[in-house]
Amino acid sequence: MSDPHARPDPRRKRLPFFSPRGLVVRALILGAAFGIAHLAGLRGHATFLSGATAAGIHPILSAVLGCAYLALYVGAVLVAPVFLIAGGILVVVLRLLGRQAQSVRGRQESLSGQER
Amino acid sequence: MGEDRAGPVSDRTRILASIAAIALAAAAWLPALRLIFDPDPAEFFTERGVAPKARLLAERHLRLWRDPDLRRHEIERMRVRNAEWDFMGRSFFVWSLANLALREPSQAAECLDVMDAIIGETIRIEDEGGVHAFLMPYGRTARFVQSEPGEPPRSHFVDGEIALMLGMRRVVADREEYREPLRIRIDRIVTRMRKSPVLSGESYPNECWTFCNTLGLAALRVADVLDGTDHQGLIHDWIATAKERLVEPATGLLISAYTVSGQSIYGPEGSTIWMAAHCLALVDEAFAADQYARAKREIGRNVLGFAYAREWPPSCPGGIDVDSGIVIPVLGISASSSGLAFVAAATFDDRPFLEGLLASLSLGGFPIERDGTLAYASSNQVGDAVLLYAMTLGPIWQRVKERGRP
Repeated sequence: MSDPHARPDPRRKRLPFFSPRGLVVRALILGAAFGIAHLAGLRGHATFLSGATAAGIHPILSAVLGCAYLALYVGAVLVAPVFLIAGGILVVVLRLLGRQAQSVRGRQESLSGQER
Repeated sequence: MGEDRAGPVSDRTRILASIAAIALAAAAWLPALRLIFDPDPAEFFTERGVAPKARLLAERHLRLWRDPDLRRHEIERMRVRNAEWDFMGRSFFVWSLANLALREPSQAAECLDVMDAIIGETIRIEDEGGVHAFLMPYGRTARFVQSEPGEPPRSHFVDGEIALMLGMRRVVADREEYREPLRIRIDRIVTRMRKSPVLSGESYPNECWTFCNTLGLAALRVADVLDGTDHQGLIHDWIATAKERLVEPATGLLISAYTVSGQSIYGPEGSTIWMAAHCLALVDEAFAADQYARAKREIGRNVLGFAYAREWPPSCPGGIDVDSGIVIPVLGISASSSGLAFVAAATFDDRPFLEGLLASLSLGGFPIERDGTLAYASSNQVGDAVLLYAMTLGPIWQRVKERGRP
């Protein structure tokens, strides 16, 4: 049973999507999900694309599993690498922007110090 | 990555920077995909001998025909959806085996055995169930207009493909028992063609298909070479009539289906035109090359190095049906058309298009290589048989052309 009065654990805050870590973690989740689907043998259900169904299973279930595999494949092959690369780019960009912001702030502080 | 939430950069800047990073990453990754999905064409196509992947694909089909349980299961699975697929899977596999036998003479005996088994069983099923055993149910909804009253209905689709099975088998190694069955099929094909003002036989009631009629022409050519008959005049007349009456004016492509009197039912389609170009290559190379070039221009596509084929030219849109298969929206990718595009590209030795198609196959075909066999999960038995045919074709057409030279 969860305690309704308990305060949320600040360490379990949702990782924002638009952040280097957020992108990398989502890329890893997509990759892992596809890996599990692949190891579970869902690839054979991709035959729904040809209008056929995999052996020994209800056609609708086979199509659903095939759709899921296809979506995870697209996620792993097209989306996850983009997120990984974007995460890397973002680290560099945010670091540069951060340095720039700090130097601007530093300059402003030194200017205001001189004025005083 | 320590500055994920807070830091010297505002949330707005972080989000905008992330969107720009994702766009930049996509711009870098998507073109690079082609470098990753870059199969070696020599694994699939070879001028002499049998390419390794073709061997694996062939092995899967051979196992289906060696193992009666496996075969029954696979055929039932396909026939539930479409009896045509069962039939075409047989045809394309027999034609592949004929080419394989010429490519690898040490395998010829086994190829011939399997070809004979398939031909025998196919004719037996047709004898027992009639022509409808291999047609879709709508074939029963009307009368075949070219059949004489009291005669069992005949389909150009079934007669043409069986004739070509028999003919190709005899090109590899002649067999006396097949001479008469081939003659009978050829007579039926010719009789039906002569009953139509556009010299075409119906595959379904009052429905002539360019796929089946060009395939019928190829069967006539093979029979001429084997038995010394001469249907050159009829073939020439069909092509002249087709150029005049069966070509869609905007694209210059042959239409796919038409009535016995020549009225268009379906415009140009990828699932027809690629195979038509392949069959025409045996009887009129210039017309075939022209149709191939037009088809490639109208429905062949290449995105980031991945080639595919649409089912319909943009100027002649159509509706999704059993021939087109699933069509992926926006890009208009058709699995049937793309599969048959392999056959045409291999016929015309169009290496750049073939390499693009192979890249697409490795990206979206979902190959399953297991125990010395290869199957494509996004395909089915007939799709894999078409691919196998594309990977092996050449020797039979070449032999027929050589023998047919005056």
